[in-house]
Amino acid sequence: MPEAPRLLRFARRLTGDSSGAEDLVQETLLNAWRSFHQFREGTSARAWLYRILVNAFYGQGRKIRTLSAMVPLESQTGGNRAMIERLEINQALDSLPLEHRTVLLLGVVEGFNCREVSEILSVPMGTVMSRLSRARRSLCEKLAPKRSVAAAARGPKDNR
Amino acid sequence: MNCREIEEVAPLYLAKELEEDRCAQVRAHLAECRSCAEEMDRQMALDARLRGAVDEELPDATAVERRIRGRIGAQRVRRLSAVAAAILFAAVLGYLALRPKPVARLYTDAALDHRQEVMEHQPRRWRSDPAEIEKLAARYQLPDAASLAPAGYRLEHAKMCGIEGKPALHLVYTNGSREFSIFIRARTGSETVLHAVRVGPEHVAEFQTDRLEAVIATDGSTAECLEFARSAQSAL
Repeated sequence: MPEAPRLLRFARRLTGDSSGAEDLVQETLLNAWRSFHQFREGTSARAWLYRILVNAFYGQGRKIRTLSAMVPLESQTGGNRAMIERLEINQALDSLPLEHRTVLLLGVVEGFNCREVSEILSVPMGTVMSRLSRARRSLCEKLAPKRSVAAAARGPKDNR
Repeated sequence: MNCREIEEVAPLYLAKELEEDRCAQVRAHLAECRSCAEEMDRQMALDARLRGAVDEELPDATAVERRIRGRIGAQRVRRLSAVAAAILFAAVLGYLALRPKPVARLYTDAALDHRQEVMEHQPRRWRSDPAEIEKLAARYQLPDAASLAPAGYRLEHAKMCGIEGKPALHLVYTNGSREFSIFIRARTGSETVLHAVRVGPEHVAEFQTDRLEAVIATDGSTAECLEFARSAQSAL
C-alpha cells in the first residue's frame, strides 16, 4: 500500500488527531478494496483513493478540529532554522479554514491538478481555482507576520 | 491577457494544466507585467515552502496497513468460504435436480403388469364375468367398477394381482383400440395430488382417496392417462 503514508498524512490534517486519521485511512482503503469494481480504468487511482477518503470524512460527519494546537509551542523556541520554517508553515496551514487547507493539501502538497481536486472534492473546477487562490493568499498573509519570529531566530543577517 | 485574467488562471498555470497556447499568453503577460510576475513567483515560492514543510513529515502507516491486511484477509476467508458454500450448495441442488429419479416400484410394477398382462396377453386367469368382477371389486368396496372409466370405455376383465409386493385388484378397460389398467389397493401412503409419470413406453398415474389407492397404466399419452385417472377419481 504505497499510498498509505500519504493518505494518513492527509487524513491527519483533516481530522486533527492520529487515531481518527488511522480509522479514516483504514475505512478508505477497505472501501476502496470493496468497491474496486467501481474504479474506472484510465482515471487516476490516487485521485480515486483521496475521493473515497474525503467522502468518508464528510459522510460520517466527522468533527473538524482546530489544528493550531498540533505543534507543541516549546518547539518554536528550539531547533534549527529549517525546523522553525516547517513549524511556521504547518501552524499557518492548520489555522486555515478546512476548505482552504484541503485544496492546498491536495493541489499543492499531493500534486493533484485542479481537475482532479474538483473530482476528489466533488466541487466545480471554478470553485477549486478560486479556493486555491484565496487559500494561497490567506497562507501568505498568515506567514507574513510570523516571518519576524523566524527572522529573529535566523538572526539579523537574514532579516531582509 | 490582462492582470485579472492572469489572477484567475494562476491556479491552472501553477498546476501545469493550462493548454499550451494559453500558457504562452500567460508567459507573455508575465514578461511584461512586473507585479503579476512577482505575484506568480511569490505563489510558486509559497507552494515550494508548503510542499517542503509538509513533505518532511510522512507518517508511519505500517500499523494501519497491518490492520487493513488483517481485515481484508478475514473478509477474503469469509468471502471464499461463502463462495465455496454457495458452490457446494448449487452443486447439491444441481445433483438433486438432475440426477435420474428412481421410479417408484409401484409404478414400474403397474407398467410391467399392464405391458405383459394386458398388451402382450400373457396367459392369466382373467375374470370376464361381470358378477365375478363385482365380487372382486366388493373386496375394495368399489360400488361400480365399470363406472371408473370415462365414456366410451368398457370394463374388459379383472383379476387379483400383486404390485409393490401387495395385493391389488387389476381392472382392464378398453375402447376397442386403447387399453387401460387400473390397480386398486388399500391406501398405504399419504395422499398426493393426482400426477402421472412415464415408465418406459407406459404412462402411469396415481391418486388416493381416503381409503384407496389407484394406479392407472396405459400405453397411451400422458394426457389420456390423466384424463382416465380424473374420471376414475371422480367416480371414487
